[in-house]
Amino acid sequence: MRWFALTVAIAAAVAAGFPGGAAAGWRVLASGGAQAKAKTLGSGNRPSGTVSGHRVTLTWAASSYAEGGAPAGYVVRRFDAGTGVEQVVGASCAGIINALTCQESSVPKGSWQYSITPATANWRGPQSVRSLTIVV
Amino acid sequence: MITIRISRKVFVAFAAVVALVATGVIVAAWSTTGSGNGYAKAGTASALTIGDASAATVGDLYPGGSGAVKLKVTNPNPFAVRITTVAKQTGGVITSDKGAACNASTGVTFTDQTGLALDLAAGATTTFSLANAVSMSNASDNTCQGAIFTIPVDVTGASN
Repeated sequence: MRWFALTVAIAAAVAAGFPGGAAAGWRVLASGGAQAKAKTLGSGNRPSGTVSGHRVTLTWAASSYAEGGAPAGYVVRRFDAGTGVEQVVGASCAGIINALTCQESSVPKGSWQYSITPATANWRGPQSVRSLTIVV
Repeated sequence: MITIRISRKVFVAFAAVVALVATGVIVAAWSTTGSGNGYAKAGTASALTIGDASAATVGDLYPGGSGAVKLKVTNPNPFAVRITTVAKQTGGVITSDKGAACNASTGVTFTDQTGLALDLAAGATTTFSLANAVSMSNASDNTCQGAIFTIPVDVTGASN
């Protein structure tokens, strides 16, 4: 009986090496493409501004992705109101602004318009309509 | 109780036969080796197929964020299967429907999914959603906005 028990034990051990046993089924594989989709930045909102000497304070409403959620920030641009030529905006309003307001100092005398562009990293949304002309 | 006396050699041989039979039967059930889009033993099971899940995608990826991956699978077999692993193909390249500029820098990374329990009925086609399976870095090009990305994957499962 000892050998019979040993035989059964061996068979059981072998079977245990294959969890689920023969009835566990068929292995199946497949290859192909899975999909994911990116958001789209919405348009910037037209800014408004106030002037104090050579300092212009801009404010604007928040933008969002078309699918919801806020962009990381906004890019502020200034244009000559007469020629439409873009100017170099002051340091305090340069880059991506993580706020809904910006104060540009030392703005030269002239007539200017500003725009707002939603931004997240390299992504840019549609630029806003330019502000009313601001005279410094 | 009846006692049958058999020699030690006979029992050893019997044990070996039992072991081999058990091994053979069980391995035969699992070793459905093959290559390509899927395989199964001796033509008794068909490969799963993966379809285009673009229509089911929801725009949720943005630089610095993560999103879901949609996987549309058809099981042509007369038995249910459970998908347990979805992994990006070795050397596979993630592409978009936005052209070269986006493809050159999608910023999209797929995280292999293991330990899944995606059940697919016999003969059924199901679109699965793998939450937070992709992420997007700040390197994503501006032209990738609204893009649908295709991620080449290998799917592994078993009859369920």
